Amino acid sequence: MKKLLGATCAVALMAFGAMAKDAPKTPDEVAQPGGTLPGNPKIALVQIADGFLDPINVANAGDGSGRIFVVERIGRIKIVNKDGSVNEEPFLDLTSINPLGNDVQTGFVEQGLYSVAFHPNFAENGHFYVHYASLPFNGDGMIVRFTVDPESPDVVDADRANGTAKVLMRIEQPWYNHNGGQIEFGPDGYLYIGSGDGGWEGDPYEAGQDLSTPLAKILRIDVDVPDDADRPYAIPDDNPFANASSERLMVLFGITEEQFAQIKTRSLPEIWSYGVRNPYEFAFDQKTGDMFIAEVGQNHWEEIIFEPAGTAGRNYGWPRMEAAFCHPMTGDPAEDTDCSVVGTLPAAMYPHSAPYPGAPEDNTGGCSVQGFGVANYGGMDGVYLMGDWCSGRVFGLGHDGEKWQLQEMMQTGLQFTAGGYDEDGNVIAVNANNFYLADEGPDSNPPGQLWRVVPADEVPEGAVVAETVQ
Amino acid sequence: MHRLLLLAALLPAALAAAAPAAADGIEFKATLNDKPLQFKYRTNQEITPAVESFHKTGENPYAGDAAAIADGQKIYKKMCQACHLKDGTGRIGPNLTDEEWARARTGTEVGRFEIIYGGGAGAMQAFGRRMDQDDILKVMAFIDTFRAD
Ligand code: HEC
Repeated sequence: MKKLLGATCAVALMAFGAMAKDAPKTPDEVAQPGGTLPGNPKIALVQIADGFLDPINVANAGDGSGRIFVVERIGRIKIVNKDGSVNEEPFLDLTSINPLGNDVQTGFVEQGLYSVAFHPNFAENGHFYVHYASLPFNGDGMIVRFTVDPESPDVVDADRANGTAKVLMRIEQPWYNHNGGQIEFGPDGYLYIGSGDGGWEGDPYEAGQDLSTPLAKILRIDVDVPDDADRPYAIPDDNPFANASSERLMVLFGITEEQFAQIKTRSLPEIWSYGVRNPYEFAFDQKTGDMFIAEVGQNHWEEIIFEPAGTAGRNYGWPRMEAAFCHPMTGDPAEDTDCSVVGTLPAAMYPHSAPYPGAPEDNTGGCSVQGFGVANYGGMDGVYLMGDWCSGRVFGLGHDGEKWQLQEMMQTGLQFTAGGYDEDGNVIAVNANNFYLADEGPDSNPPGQLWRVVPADEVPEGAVVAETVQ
Repeated sequence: MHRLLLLAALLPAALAAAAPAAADGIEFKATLNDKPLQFKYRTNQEITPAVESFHKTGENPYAGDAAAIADGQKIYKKMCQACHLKDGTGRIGPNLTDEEWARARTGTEVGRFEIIYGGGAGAMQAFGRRMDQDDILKVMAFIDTFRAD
């Protein structure tokens, strides 16, 4: 089944040939704010629910229940029912599974329970997966499977959690920032994991270009292995480095350079793509399977990566590149003639207040891109929506048949942290009132909200709508 | 009794929200969209005489008051400095040391109160959720000093 899907994708791609939408080939083709999406769609954010403690991700279970699962940084997952009511008792509470205290490290605002993903067959097997910074493991990223008791579909209590926990992976984190976080099943049924570069700044490990570390990568694993298997997951055969490090006899003659280049004796087979700084959020277009990565940038630019469905092994450039520019930026990139592009360019980028060191300040940009999801409704066709953590701006990225268009759709007073989909395929988003500089702790910051993206002319009567700059 | 007093003290604020055009009061507006500002945060805070007076006149009674400015500086260090910088020149938030203002009303004390209490865009959160209105007036008195020297 999985293989077949992959093959279909490849055929479809070939049929499209050069017309297929893909990453820009040159830096000047990378979209910047000021574009217009096809049809110039207008959207509004309608509040679904309020009162979450630092909500930093959201997902649905795909089981027809209509429930939305809001991830609270402190280590809880709250259920929002179809009618918008929020269950008092959490679905999962990692603050209570360990008698010695919270199992989640939340000491730094980028740490916490990052995300939840439900198995494609969740309705039958009850498996769901979380990624969180572990307190006992000093902030390492734990990817753990839990299994719902069918008798208690809305609450996985501490006993059930401990009784069913299966640790898939522990990603060592040298520093407390850039932990990535998003985990999500792709249309191929495999689990994709966004893994940041380990933190500090400037990628001190050079992790982005180092295939021997899981840091600064998108990883892809097959979770469907028997529970008594030697390893908690399998490597999909078509992972780009699935066999690159396997032991073999050395053959020096009669081998092409291309074949030599496929030998990577230290590469990790889990790697799907590399050269990302902090892929805290990514999403699949539910219609096409294409992937968008909201790649959080460093001092000057935020970038949005487009990856056509099933395209493995791309290098997105970090830390050689920051968006479409060579990293580190030392001045106005227009005057830097020595820079040549490493890897695949992002589809779009938007600046911080200073687009390069010494640039005049301008507050039309942002500071940290937080992806929501891909909208295929309301006049939007494959439009990736994202929000900025600082400026409250919402951007839409779409392709007009010729090139990418990045359009600012609204500016709100919300500090967006993430997004996802409801079961009807609507894009949803969460905002939290936390920030590096004003963090009072994951249980003390003013509560955050859950929103649905709706076409502006379809806002239900009486709905609470996010206020926007007029 | 104590409670009752507080409630009574709150009434003017509540009224201001309900009837923003009240003859003897300032019409406070939300920074982003000019709608009437809702005084909905920290509803059990003490409404000090300074706050009461500010609601009526739109003039900050703490302006130039050394003790209030010292308190305001402490709050600024804790809550504002990270974005607006120690000297007010701004990084994530705009420069507060000049007479150029990013929003239509922030050039006035009323407008600055509105953005600090009710929030602006994105990272400029509604600090009315994190501190009492009296403290907002103190921090306003402090940021005035950036422009004085
Ligand atoms: C996390 C970053 C951040 C913090 C903390 C912060 N601000 Fe701001 N501030 C901003 C941003 C961003 C804006 C611009 C918002 C807008 O224009 O809507 C702003 C705007 C303002 C303005 C209006 C400036 C103008 O030119 O219109 C004032 C006044 C202000 N802030 C005061 C404060 C005070 C006082 C505090 C502390 C209580 C504070 N800010 C804390 C980010 C911050």
